[in-house]
Amino acid sequence: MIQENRLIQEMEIKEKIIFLQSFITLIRADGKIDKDEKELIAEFIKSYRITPQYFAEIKNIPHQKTLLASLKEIIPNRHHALFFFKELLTIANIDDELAHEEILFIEAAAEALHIEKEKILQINELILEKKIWLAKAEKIMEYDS
Amino acid sequence: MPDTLEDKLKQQAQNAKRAIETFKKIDFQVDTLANVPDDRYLAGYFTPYTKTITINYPEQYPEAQKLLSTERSLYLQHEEQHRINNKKGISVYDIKISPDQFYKLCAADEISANMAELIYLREEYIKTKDLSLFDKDEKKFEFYKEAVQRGNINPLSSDPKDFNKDMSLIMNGTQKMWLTKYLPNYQQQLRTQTSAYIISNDRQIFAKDDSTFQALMDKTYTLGGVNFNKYNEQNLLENNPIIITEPQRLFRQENLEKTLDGDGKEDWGDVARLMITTSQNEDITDEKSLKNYLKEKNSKGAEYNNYLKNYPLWENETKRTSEILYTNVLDMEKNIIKKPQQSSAESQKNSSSQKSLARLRELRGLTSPDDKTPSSSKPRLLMLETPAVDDKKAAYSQKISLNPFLTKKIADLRELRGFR
Repeated sequence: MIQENRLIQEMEIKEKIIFLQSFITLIRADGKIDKDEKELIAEFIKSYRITPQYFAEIKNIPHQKTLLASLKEIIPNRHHALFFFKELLTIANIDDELAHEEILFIEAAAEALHIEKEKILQINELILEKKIWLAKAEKIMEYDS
Repeated sequence: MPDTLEDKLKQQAQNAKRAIETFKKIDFQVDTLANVPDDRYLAGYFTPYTKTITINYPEQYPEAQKLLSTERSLYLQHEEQHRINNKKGISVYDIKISPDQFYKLCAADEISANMAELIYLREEYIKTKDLSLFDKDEKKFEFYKEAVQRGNINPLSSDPKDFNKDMSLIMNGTQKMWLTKYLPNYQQQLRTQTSAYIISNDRQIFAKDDSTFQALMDKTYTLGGVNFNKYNEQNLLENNPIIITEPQRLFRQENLEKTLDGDGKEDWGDVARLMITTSQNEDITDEKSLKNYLKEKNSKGAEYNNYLKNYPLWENETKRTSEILYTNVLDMEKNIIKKPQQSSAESQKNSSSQKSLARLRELRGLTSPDDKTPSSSKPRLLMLETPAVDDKKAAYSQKISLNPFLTKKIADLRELRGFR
């Protein structure tokens, strides 16, 4: 987690914005973005410490093709790219279902950033293992009762 | 096997969902002074009147203690299935089916509990690939182990044909095993249960009701998200000679009358003994009080059950039960059995799954994609608006209240990301 905090601190505002625009693109891959999904985006805005002056820019999401090209241009290295997918796949896995359109976007982003499919699967597994761990903890520690 | 990224990601998500939903916590008690016969130890039992599960741990039988320690989770899985079935209305006294149908239902309840054990072992096998697991509990599932060894079934396969063969063996194999190996020992219990059913219904003999009976059989044989009754091609229960003749012999009304009037004290005594062992404080000395007892404690026993669910510590010369203990078992009410994966092409065609997703969203309190609410009437989401800096404080104070599902979702997101 220290690593990831450091990564966020390292990120320039344009990188944070492209992250956010990608998350929104993923969320609305099924056609629209609802208010609950916006709240999830708000979580990222908060943790990336993005100030309101950039909100308009975040909302101005380019066409997917342009966005993917920008990802390649703005994300500076593999570490950042892997972190990007960890964040992206976390959002994708919040619901129990993965939509076909969401997966298409993840696949296209992976291709744009030259991240291997195997690595995507590993990151996804990592997130799901944590999800399982948290659910187990909830039961064992009786947080659900 | 899935080969596209989409298939693999979906499979990962499905596996995780199963892992999360797999286990549930149940309560039980341990009886350390269980009165068990020399030749066979009763591992545990479910008491319908109190909805409690008791695991015997007889001090006088060290071998039994050892077995009950190592295989306890299997026995609890079995007894919990009886509790689930009871909750579904299986083998309770306020249903109206014929005595022989009730008799069969009680037998099916036992088969279902054994299937729960096998499903538990099968899930363990999928994780560990250890075939010796099926040697547990008196090697009752040896038939399954041999079928895996011979390649007749493959629990690891994702081919729908293999899946169907596997499910069919769980249903028909367990049924055959139980009828052959255990039915003779359960005849007395089935007879007692059916006697109690008739007595509690003022000795009315209800006519056959095939529709109710089939619905109850479907419920009994639905475990882990699979209705095994659909695989019940051999229908061994219906064709078993004991199952056919016993109820007819035992429950013709005139015989029952005679039995209860004194000539056949054995039957009456069996029922009474069973009831008395479940209640330390009840005064059951005659048929009338027994009938009242059955009615109150079974059909209308909610209050009594609430009282007894606190598991009072019993201590007397034959029984000493522990306080409430808890453990995790597989949650057979959830879809824990992994079904063959659809390919992404198939899943796209499956519009019903899209509808399910929309329904799920509605159930979870999320806005449906079809929501036609005009945007002007929707609450503003301030985080993505652009309030003037001076308005920031006021804007935040207007923040919409979050529904509990969303609150949980955000909490999950924070936990998953590791940020607070």
